[in-house]
Amino acid sequence: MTGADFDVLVIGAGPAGLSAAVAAAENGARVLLVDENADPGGQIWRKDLLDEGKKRKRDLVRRANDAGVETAFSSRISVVLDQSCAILDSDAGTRRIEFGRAVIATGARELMLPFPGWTFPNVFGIGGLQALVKSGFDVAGKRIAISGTGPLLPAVGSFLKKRGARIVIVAEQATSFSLVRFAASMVSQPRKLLQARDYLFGRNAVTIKPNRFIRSVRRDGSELVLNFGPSGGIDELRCDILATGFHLVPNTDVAMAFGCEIRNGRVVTDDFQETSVKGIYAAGEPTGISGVEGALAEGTIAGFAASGAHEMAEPLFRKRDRETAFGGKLDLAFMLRPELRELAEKDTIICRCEDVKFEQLRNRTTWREAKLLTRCGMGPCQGRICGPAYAFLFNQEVLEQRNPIQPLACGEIAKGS
Amino acid sequence: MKTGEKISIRINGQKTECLSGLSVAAVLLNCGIEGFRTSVSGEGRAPVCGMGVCFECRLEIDGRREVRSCQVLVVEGMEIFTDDGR
Repeated sequence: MTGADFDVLVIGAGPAGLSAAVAAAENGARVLLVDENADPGGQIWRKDLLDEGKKRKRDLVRRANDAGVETAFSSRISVVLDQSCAILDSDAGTRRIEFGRAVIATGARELMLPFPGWTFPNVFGIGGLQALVKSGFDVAGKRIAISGTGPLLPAVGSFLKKRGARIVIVAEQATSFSLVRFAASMVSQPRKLLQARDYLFGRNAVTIKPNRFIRSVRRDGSELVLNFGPSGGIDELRCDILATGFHLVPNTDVAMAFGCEIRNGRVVTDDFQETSVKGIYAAGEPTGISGVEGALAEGTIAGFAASGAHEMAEPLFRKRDRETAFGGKLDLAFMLRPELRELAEKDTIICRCEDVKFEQLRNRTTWREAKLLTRCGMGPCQGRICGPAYAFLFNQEVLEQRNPIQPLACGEIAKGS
Repeated sequence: MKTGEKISIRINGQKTECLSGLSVAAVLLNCGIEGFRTSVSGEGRAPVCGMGVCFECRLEIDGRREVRSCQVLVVEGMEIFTDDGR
């Protein structure tokens, strides 16, 4: 194709990135697959020490190997130099790589909303707690409360129960009307219905309490004492661990660094998953949250298109479009209720890196002003946690940061460029 | 694929036995450690996102500072320091 090191660079090895790498490599492209984690799978298929994982994941990993996909795990694209050159950073140092095309499959992260006590130890993200348990955190015998919104709540609740935890509550902020309407709209998606049946009626089923949300946490010795809204619901509840998550936020940082157009927090793509920058594709959650099936379809389309096989991508459009429609149903069913904007009190920390409090932020007119005057979003996470929370709390636009995408020693930048 | 063999590491100078293949964050949580890092206003903080995004679990590993402990697996002889363990 070109004199570059690789025909296609795939950033992220979750379902979207794996399927993109497989499609491109099986079509004859030289592919480099990069992921920050030590193993492939992304978050949804994250390696579990006690479980060999989903067959679909193992199949894709095997096909990637068979097709000669080169991999760089525990590695990050930390600087995008232009649309065919980037700096890859790992423990072993930095490396400059050149590529013909790129597929951005950087996944999503959880939306964490601030409430009094959310910075205490033993308060986790829902997906975060699941990831930690998969990597060896033992929760057997722990009393765990779950609060937030979306399909991850019963899924993780059921997973934790299987690992021996006692689930004291699964508080879903959406109303029961919303949940029933959502369930009814799922009749055309048998695979998702079967999964839901497992979480709600299987051996490790959990019960969802709709119309409930965490309001505050205090500590009593090593216990967490939880208070829920709306008023007049449940009184105090005691537990060892609280996991919260208010659905997902697309990771658009790498796409921003490439200069791709972002609209409503999502990377804009055409039918072939190509972004506004020629030769740069995006697949999976960065283009909007639509789950693993959508990610697989988008990844395959992007992989074929990036390796020049547009005719092989086209038959997958219908499946992709159906799955993207599922994303729209999620957004509607799990829309955040306005009371969640009222949880933070004046001394509640919003930016966990710089310990910026709610009262320092409430009169800022833009995210930029908040950053410059209070250092909100200026710490190591670069606003990845507080940015989406700020956007929701104050109804302002928050764009993700540009180069360098990840903190990096100055000497390493000099060596790589 | 199952967790590996018994290894020994040091957390804040204290010898600790654990299984290889676990993340550093998981091992510290299993030890009941609540303060991984100390925030700019002095609060003890511990892992939140579990996937390398929030940086709350960062600590010192084998002389390298500010390492995200959820992204690193324990190996024999590893030397780990929390912020208040120094």
